[in-house]
Amino acid sequence: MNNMTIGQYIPGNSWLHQLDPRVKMMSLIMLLISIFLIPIQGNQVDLYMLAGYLLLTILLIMSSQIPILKVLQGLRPILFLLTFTVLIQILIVMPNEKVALTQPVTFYLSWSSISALLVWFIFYQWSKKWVRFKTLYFLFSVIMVFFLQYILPFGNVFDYEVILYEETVLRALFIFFRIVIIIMLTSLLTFTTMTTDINDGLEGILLPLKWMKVPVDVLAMMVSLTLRYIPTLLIETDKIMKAQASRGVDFKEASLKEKVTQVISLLIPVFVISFKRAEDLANAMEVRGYVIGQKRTKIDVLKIKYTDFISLFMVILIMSLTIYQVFFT
Amino acid sequence: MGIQFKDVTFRYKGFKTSYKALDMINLDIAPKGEIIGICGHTGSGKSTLVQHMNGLLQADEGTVSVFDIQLPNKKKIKLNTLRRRVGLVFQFPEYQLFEETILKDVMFGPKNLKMNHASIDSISKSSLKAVGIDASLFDQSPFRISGGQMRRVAIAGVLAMQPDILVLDEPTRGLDPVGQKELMEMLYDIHKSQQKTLLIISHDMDILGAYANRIIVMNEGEKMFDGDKDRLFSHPKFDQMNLDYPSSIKVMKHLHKEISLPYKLLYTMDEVISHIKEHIHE
Repeated sequence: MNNMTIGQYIPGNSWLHQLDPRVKMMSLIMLLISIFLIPIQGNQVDLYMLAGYLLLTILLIMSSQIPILKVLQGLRPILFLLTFTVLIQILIVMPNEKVALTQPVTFYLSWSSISALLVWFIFYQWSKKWVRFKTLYFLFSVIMVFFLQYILPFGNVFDYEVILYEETVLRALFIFFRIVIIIMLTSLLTFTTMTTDINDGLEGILLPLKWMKVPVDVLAMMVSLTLRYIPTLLIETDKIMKAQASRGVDFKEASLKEKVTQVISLLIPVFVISFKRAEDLANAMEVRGYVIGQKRTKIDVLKIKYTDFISLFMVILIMSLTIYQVFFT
Repeated sequence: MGIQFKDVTFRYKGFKTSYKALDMINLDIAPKGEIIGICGHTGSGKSTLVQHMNGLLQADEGTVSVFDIQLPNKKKIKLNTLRRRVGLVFQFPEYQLFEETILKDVMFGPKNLKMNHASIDSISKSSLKAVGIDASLFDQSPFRISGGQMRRVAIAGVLAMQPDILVLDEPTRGLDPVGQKELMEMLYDIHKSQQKTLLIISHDMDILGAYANRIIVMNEGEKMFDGDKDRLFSHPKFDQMNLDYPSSIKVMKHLHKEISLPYKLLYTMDEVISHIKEHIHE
C-alpha cells in the first residue's frame, strides 16, 4: 500500500523539470495531436515520421535524467491492450493490397491443442510468481499459445489459416509504437511535474474558459484537493486495514461471503473518515479566509522563461511540419 | 512463552531511501501479570514495535517469537492464530467500527476467528459489559454514541477475541480527563480479573506511573530503557531521555526541596496526600 504513488513525480533538476507546467502540458497535447494525425495506412513517409517521434521521445527521456526503465515500467499496465491490438491487427484485419510475407500457416483448435492450452494456462498462472521477467514471460506465453495450436492438429475441431501481409504487419507495428510513444510522453509529464504544478498548469490552460463563466479556479481547487487527499486516504486505509487485520480479517483465506463483509469493514470506516476530513478541511479553509469565487493570489506565480519559449516554438514547429506533411504533400 | 524479540531490525523503505524504524531490539514479554508502558517521542518506533507483536509487520533482521511461533517464518503460518493471542488496539480505534449495531461490531472479530456461534454471542456480551457498555445500547448504531463510548466498543471488539496479551496504542488519546481515568480503571480491572498482560503506549507519564509496573523507553528506533518503573524514575540519566516525571513525583520533589519532606517515589496524588498528612502530623 505504501508503494502506491499517484502521479509518480520523480524529483530531479533537468530542463524538463524546470519547464513551465503550462508549456509542458500544451506541448504534450500538441505532440499527441500530431502523432494521431499521422495516417495509419503504413506509407513509408508516415513510418519515418513515427520513428522521428520515437526518437524525440527517447531524447526527451534521456535529457530528463529519468531512468528509461522507469518509463518502460509505465507500459506494463497496458501490456494486455498492446498485445491484443497487435494480434487483432495481424489476425483479423484484411489488407487492401495483399502482399504476402509468408506462406499461409494453419492453426488448429483441436481437442489436443485445447487441452494443451488449458494445461499451459494453469502452468502459467502457477509458475509466474517465480519468474523474474514477468513481461517477457507473458509475451513468451502468448507465442506459446499459437505454437501449441500449430503443432497439435490431432482431434481437430476447427482450423484457421493465417497469412502475414506486409500491410497488416506494418500497421500493427505502427499502432504498437503509437501507443508506446503516447504512454511514454504522458508518463514523462507526470514524472517531471509535481501534482501541484500540474494543477497550476491546468488552471492556466483552462483560463480562457473563464470568459465563458466557467468557474476555473474552483475546478482547479477541487482537482488539487482531490490529489492532495489521495495519499492521506491511502494512509488512513492502511491504518484501517491493519486494525481490521488485528481483528482477524484475512483476505487470503476467506470465502466469498466473508470477503464481502471484510471489504465493507474497510469501506465504511474509510468513508466515515473522509467525510470527517472533508468537514474539517472545509472549516479550516473558511477560517483561513477562503471564499468560493473570490480572487486569490499565489505564492509561486508562473513566469514564462526563455527555455519555455524555445520549447514551445520547437513543438509548434514539429506540429506544423507534421500537418504540412500529412495534408499538403 | 509470551513475546520475545531477538535482535529485531526493521526498515521502512522509500523510493530510494530506507529509514530504520527499529534497531536491534531485544525484548521479553511475559504472557501473564505484567502491565508494560511504552513511551518515547513521536517517530521513536513505538507503534512499529507494537505491530511486530501480532505479525502486521515482520522484521527485516532478527526474529520475533510470539507464543512459540517464529516470525518471519519460511513456512506458511496462519497469522490469525497469532492475532487471536495478541490483541492490538490501534490509536483512535473508534474509526474501525463499521457494523449496524454495537453488538454485531464486537462479534466481527470472533466470527473471523471462526469461534463457535453460541460462544460468540456470550463472549461479545460479556466483553461489552467488561468495558462498561450498558446492555440497552447493544442494538444501537455504533455511530450514534459518544466518542469515549465508541472507543470502549472498539476495545471490546478486540477483547472479544480473548487475547492473552492486550496491546493498546495510546488508548487515552483525545479523551477528557474523566474519560481517561475511567478507561484506565477499566483496563486495570480487566488486567486484575484475568491476569492478561497489558502493553500500553502512552505519552502520559501520570498514567504510566500509576498503572504500569514496567516501562520501556524508545528513542529513534532503539530501546533506551527497559525495566521497573521505580528504577526509571530514579535513573541518574533520566533527564536525557526526554521524558517528564509524573505530577505526583514532581510534587514530591518540590516539597522535598522547599520544606524538606522525606522523598519517596509515589505515583498517585492520593498516595502523596496521605504521605504529606503522615509527615506533617509528626
